[in-house]
Amino acid sequence: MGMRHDLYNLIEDGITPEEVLSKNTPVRRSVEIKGEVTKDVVEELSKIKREPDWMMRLRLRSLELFNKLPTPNWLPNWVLDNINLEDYISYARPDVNRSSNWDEIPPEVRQYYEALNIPEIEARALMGLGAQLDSEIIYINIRKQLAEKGVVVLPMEEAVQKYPDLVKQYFMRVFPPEHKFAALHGALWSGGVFVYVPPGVRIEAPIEGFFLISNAGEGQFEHTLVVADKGSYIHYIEGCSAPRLSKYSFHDGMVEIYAHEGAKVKFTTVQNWSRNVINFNNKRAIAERNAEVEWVEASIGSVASFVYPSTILKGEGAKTEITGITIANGKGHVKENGAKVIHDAPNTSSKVVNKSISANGGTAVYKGVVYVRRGARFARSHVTCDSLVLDGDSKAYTIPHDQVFDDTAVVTHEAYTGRISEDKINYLRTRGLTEEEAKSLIVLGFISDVTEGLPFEYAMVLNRVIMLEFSKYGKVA
Amino acid sequence: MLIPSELRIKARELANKIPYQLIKDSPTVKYYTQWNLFDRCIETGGNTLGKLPQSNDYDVVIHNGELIKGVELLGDQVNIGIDPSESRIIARHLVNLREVYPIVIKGDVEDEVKVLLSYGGEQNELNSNHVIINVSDYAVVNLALSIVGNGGCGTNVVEVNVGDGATLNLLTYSTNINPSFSLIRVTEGSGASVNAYTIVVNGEMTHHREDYILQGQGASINSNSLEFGSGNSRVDYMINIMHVGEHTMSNSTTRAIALDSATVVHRGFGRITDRGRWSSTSIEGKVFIGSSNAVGMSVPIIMVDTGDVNGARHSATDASIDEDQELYLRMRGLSREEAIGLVVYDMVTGFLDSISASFKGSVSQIRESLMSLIRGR
Repeated sequence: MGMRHDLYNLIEDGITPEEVLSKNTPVRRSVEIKGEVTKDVVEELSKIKREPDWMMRLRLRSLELFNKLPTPNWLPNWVLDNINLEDYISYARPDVNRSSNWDEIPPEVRQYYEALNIPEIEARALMGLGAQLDSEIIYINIRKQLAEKGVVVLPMEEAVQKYPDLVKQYFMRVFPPEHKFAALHGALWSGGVFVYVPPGVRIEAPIEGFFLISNAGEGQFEHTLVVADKGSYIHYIEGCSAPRLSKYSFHDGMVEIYAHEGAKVKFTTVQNWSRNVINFNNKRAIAERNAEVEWVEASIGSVASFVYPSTILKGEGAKTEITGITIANGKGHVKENGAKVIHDAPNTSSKVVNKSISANGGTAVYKGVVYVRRGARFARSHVTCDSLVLDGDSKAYTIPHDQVFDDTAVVTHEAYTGRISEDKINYLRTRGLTEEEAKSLIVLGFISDVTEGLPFEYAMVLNRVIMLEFSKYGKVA
Repeated sequence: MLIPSELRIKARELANKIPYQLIKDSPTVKYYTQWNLFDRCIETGGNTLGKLPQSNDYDVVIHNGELIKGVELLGDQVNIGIDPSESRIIARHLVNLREVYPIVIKGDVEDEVKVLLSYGGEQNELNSNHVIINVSDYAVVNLALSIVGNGGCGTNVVEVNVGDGATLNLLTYSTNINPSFSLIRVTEGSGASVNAYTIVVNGEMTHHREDYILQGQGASINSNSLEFGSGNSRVDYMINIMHVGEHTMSNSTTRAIALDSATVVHRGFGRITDRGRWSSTSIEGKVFIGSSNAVGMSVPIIMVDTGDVNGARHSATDASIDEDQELYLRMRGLSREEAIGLVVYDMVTGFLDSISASFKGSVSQIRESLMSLIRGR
């Protein structure tokens, strides 16, 4: 009770998670790699992790591609100027032994997670948890009954050692290094969680991966791989946070999902990086016959974020749903939260719902692609985007691309951008709410699609964080 | 009016340097216009007049850059509103062009003012036309614009300045064979109103772009378009609406038909700038895919730079007849092909019937050629 009560009270008092984390003392590191990303650096990283040859070769191939591929021209210049890799720490191992017992984690490290209620949420609502600090997983634990059913939840490095054949089948094959930052990720990846769910196994409560960046000027490149075998089900939650940092840090993670025939994977991200983090996350899923992949991407924190959860509907009857919530709150904040769906087989269907709120000079962007290849007969896709712009300095852009190569497909798209309706505010004010309360309530209602699907503990804190986001940095409108 | 030499020099410098199009989007998205097809087109510099078009039906005729008819409507020297730095195709257009023709339409004109931009030549010859039309303040004008390609490559630019309080009814009909680039850029003054009807038909690679800049307070544009692609055509129709003035309003509806092995692209872009407070925009598109080898694409974009917005919306559909419709029609003895034919006929005639009666002369000619195109497939 104590922990949750503390955090809840702090948030009630108007203290953001980044401020909560900022009270902690910095964590000591046992290894740090900094400077230009060269072949030597990549080889050293691979040696530190005692990787097999195939993984070192994969890293070196990715580095080669990173050097060859052009710098994306679709990113704002100020973002590119602040991704100066020579200045970043590309690998930071905290001086902590990994454990599956919070009591064995040193108090100065544990306090980061306790400040955010993570151990308590794990005990109440999760079937497993992997917690990463900087470049390494420092805590991992799954419920005994899952292990007995053959579910594998491991730090990515350990999975590479223990299950090389399984990992090799999927690792960077779902999302190959096709653009510069995906290639950089391939060269420098460290940490992240590997999950394998055996055929027919349904994991009723979520498994979570929680990622923290503790220091300024750091790059984090965790790799999450979820393989759901035939007819299985898993809900994976990914959370990210960081204290207020003195300069920019850079997150370039990757999530790969493979849903085999009839499997269902739900992947929820609650991204609440602090305002000095530039967030780049490469997310792609492949759905086989009759499989379902559901992405929920709540993009709340960070100064700039570029995330486009994607699903390739490879098998007949496969489905995907991609729900995005974007909050761009603050001058110069750029938040791109898009979606991509490739209909690659007959009778596939997709639904994309994207909601954004921009305030105090922030820019929210939806960029999306729906592609139906010739022969993907009777594909169905519907995309809806709604944007609220809360003041005169903020912006909202909706940029969808529908590309249809089959005459039996039906692809539809609709979008609306506007301000909070005066009628709704007046209605709530007649019921005794102040104007600010009314606006907060409308904003929360607007994004309830995301919070509804989360465990109660999580949703409650998230709601407060979002309300705080708007109360602390000025009035909602 | 001759092209100013400094503009021509700048255009020459840029024509081989800058790209046809800047892509600042995700790596998944490439070009909708196959610009490489324009590389084979060779500038003629306006030296090949070739076969002249029939000019009886028109008030103004410009062919391969030469004014053939309509001297009496020519106005004074005006500034050219496009700049070669915008894109390679515009730089090439300005390199290839000898003259720009300014036309002034004063007062109310009940009948259609009919302007023909025609080009033709050998398959790889590039011919260019450019006209600037000024509609006086408070005038009410019916302008019928035809862009007709008779072979060879073409670039056609029409700049229209609509004065304060003026009303322009604009009918544009564009039909092409080889690669063609058309740009219609309309700038509207305060309280100006434009009702635009556009029909774009076929072409190996037809890039048809319309820009509406709602500059003055209270300006409005209501645009209805029909794209038609058959055979191996590739038609990229793009409408850009910029809300610069306050309390401006835009509405754009596009219907597109892709038959045979054609690719038809509808791109609509509505932007409410930070100065365009209390404006509204609506972009709607439906691409009908009428064959298993046809391709339909939609890119409806809205960008809102202010919270002081009345509303911005878009919707798009890419589809053929659905199973229920097909079943319904089959039960009445129609094959899928016949059902598709009916839908196409209905879309075309429905669109033509919706065009303002002021254009009945032009619409009748367009109807005839579209129907013979549909029947001849």
